[in-house]
Amino acid sequence: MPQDNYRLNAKLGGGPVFLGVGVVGAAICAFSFMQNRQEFFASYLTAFSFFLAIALGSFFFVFVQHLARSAWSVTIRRVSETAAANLPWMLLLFIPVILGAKDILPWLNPEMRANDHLVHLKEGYLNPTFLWIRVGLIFGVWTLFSLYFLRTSRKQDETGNPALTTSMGKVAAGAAILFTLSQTVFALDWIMSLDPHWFSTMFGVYYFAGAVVAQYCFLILVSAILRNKTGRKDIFRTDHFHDAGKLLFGHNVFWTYIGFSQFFLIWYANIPEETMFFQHRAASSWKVISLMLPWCHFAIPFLYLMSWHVKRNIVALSIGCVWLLTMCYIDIYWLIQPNFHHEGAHFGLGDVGSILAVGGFFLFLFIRRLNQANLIPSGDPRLADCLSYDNGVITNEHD
Amino acid sequence: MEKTISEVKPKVFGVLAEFSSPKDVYHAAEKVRDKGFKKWDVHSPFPIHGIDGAMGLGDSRVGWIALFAAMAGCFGGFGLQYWINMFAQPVVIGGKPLNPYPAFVPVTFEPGILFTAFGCLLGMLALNGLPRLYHATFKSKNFHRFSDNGFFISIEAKDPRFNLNETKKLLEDIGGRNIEVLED
Repeated sequence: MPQDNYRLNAKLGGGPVFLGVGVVGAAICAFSFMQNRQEFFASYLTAFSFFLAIALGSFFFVFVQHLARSAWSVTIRRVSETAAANLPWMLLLFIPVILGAKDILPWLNPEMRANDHLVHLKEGYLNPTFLWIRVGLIFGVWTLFSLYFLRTSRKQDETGNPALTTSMGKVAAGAAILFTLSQTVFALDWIMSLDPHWFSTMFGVYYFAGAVVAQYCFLILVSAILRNKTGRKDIFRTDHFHDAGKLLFGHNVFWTYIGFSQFFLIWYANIPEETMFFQHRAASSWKVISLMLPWCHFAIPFLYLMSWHVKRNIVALSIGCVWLLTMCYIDIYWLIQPNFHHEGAHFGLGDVGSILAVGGFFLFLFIRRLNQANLIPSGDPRLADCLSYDNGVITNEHD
Repeated sequence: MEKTISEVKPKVFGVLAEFSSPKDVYHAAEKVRDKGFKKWDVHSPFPIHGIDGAMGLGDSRVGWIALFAAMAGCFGGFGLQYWINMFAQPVVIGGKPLNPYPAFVPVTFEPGILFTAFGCLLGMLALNGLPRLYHATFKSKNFHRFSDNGFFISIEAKDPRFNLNETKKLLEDIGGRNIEVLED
């Protein structure tokens, strides 16, 4: 039964502004493209991979909540469902990457595949036919599942049918498997294979770990804005922020664990095909970024987010999220750009334009979708549990 | 002349009152809290959700003990390896520099975790005053039910607000039954 008290009609503003930002960004991108084709495509791929990470992380969050039958997250799940439903649009934003594929993926050059011994050995995977099949498959999977979860959940707003929750739980199991494979394929094809000689068995997980961190930051920030905008502290409760903060903290440690393990094994074994990845990143200004990641992506947020006083203070938590979201971008920048700028980091016009373009369109589409329906899944059978959820911290807060 | 043990007048430990349900003991606890008592406790066969708030207990200090234990473990683990590799027994391993700090991370991490676990467990026991072999409630006839179906509140005589008659009356007023004076 739909609960009218939990129909939130407050609309999130800013849509047209972000559309404008996107258009301005696209103009800067066009200018940057004319100056240096390859540099622009590298910048664009960086921004694209960053926003794709948010959408993929959101998709992950949605199906994990269904798999775990979690009640605590019901009210904030709509934000993630909507962000994940940006995945079909990401295919549209992917078109510039497709057009620039020849400029950024060196192995698309048949000469390299024929003459370069290592790349020749990898040709079974690294060949254009299979690449485009994979692109079709991963975007197909993302489109199907992300739209399914958003549409089913919205339908439940109207009908309140608990059977929909059961079927979403079943679909979530399949989504988990296909998501893992597809996001690994994206990370391998479009980030790792920029350097086709390199070997690492942890790269897919590394991109995933960063994506989930970015997702929690995005989720917390949007939920904080919604809490402010609607004034419904009984729906976007401090306990929910606290728990999302805990998961952000935990996944950030997971990112560190994966990042360190990847580095550690390569560093210790000292095999040339593996170490060259870090060789490119151990000199010039890349060294600064390489050292910045463990300190600013891990150590500082680790200490900052440790106390529950920070996680229960929405402003303090949001500051941490903005910081970590910036670090997630720098992390992806550090993965992609050293392949094109061996001489050092070079944050240029193309990077700014790409962030504005992809980010502007991403947020415009996100806000538009979010405003189309109720802001929370009000028909979810676990809504009551979510609203009365108490994570057991003794405080004097009354919300 | 010295007194024999049987002649020593027993000291009052506190007052014990029984309640019939978790709900009753929860609301009674709120009233005891509002009276400003500090040295008192609720005894129940199972954890009562939110009882810590009803008792007005503050934030546990175990977290701080764990934090300092973790830092001691991390610095100790790193320091030990650093001292050995740099001063006590410098050996070049695998062509790495003498201070190969990435290699120190696992051993820095492990004592950090180990010490945190020790800090949590021992800190919790110390703050709870455990282990102990004797407690005044052992003498009570009713108290064995705390592990079955009894819910109790005990207020200790050590509390500055304790007054034998008034405290007994308070416990009666808030719904306590079987009020007993516990002797140490």
